[in-house]
Amino acid sequence: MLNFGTRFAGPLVLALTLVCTSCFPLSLGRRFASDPQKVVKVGFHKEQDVVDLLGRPYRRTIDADGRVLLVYLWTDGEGAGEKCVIGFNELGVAHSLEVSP
Amino acid sequence: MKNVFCSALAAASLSCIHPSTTGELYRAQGEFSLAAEYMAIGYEQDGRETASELSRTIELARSEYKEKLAAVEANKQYVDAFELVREWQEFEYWVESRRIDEISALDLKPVVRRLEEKAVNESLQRFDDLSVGDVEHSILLPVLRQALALSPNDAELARRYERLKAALTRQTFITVQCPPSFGDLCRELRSLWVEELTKVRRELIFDIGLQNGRYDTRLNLILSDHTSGQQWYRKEEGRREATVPVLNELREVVVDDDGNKVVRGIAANFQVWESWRRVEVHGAVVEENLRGASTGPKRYASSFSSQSQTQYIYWTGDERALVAGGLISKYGTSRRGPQSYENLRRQAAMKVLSAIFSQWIKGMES
Repeated sequence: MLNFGTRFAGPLVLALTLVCTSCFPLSLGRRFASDPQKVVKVGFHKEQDVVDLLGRPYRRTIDADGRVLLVYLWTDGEGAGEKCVIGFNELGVAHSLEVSP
Repeated sequence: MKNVFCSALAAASLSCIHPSTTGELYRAQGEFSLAAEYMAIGYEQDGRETASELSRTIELARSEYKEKLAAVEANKQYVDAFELVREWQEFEYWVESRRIDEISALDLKPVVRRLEEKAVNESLQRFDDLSVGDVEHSILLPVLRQALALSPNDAELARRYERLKAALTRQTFITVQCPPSFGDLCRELRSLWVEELTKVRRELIFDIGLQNGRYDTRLNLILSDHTSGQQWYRKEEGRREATVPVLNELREVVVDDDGNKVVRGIAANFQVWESWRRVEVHGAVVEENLRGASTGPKRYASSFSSQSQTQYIYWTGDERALVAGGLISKYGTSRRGPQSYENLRRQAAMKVLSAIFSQWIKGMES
């Protein structure tokens, strides 16, 4: 009996974990810590300031001119979500902020 | 057991939500760039099977960007257009980084350059228009800041920004007044205020600290509290009765000649005791602008109440009579009292400080 229990315990736990974890809506990113349009000051905040205010970005991209773009993204996997792209100029100061939808 | 495992695995693989399915949901709602994120995850899992769906979603996202861009350009809102095209440009870099077969990224560099130039002109024009009028500095500053962000090498703009910023910058100094009951918490609250203020780089507000005596804005945080509470008092009392089966010496249930269980009555008398404590903290920050004394002090206030309550049950008699009604699990038997007034005061004071700081910083930094 003990042998039977231990033999199938691992796979059973694995299967239950699969059922419990992978069948929830697939969310991406994290909810925004603050409203980017309220806390980020275009023309003043630098990349590190934005990270301090909004947390770690979902993605960081550098364009062909060497300018940074930070992407903050959050979706709940059920139809709701937000995306915020903050662009920085060559001096590293935020020069664009677009939030959608 | 094997069947259980197989069924669970089958359920997991059949009923679980595939990223592409979630992508379709977002696509149906017109959220094409978010849908593309999901489709790309699906593509990484399944390869070519979902490539066409991903490709279609990317094209839809591009069409949407194009339409939005045309609309804002038509309205001559070039700053908005520039912000939008920067988002689109990031999307194209993302498409490129996915290395998806048969989908190549668009090079938006010429569009970005063109719109950047127009955005610079628009922001400078907006600033010039506002500068000639009698506009408040606080309205002018964000416009100037945006213009400078778009033309970061414009020395004249930079000079004007620094001048305007200097005129609006506030050197603050905060003092805290608390009743003796606050003890060390009073000093701690001052530190927390300064910590909150310096957590991120501020454009216009600085705390000058205790060492430097030159400040132009005096803040006075005034706190007061009101404590109330009740020592242990009897909240409820009563008697519960129940029946339990009679057991023999082998702890087996005794049955009568008809095969029915033999039961006997039990009872317990109980009392529920309760104690609670509450601290209500009221706070206000009075801001005095020493530069423009004519404006008069501003006041930001908040209050919060913290409460802690505990109960326990005491009984005489057979506890099984209470277990049946769930009374013991509901009230517990621990006679530990509620949280101390110090803890409750601290919790309430932190909430009050946080609320006042939010109100104040919103007014100062906006």
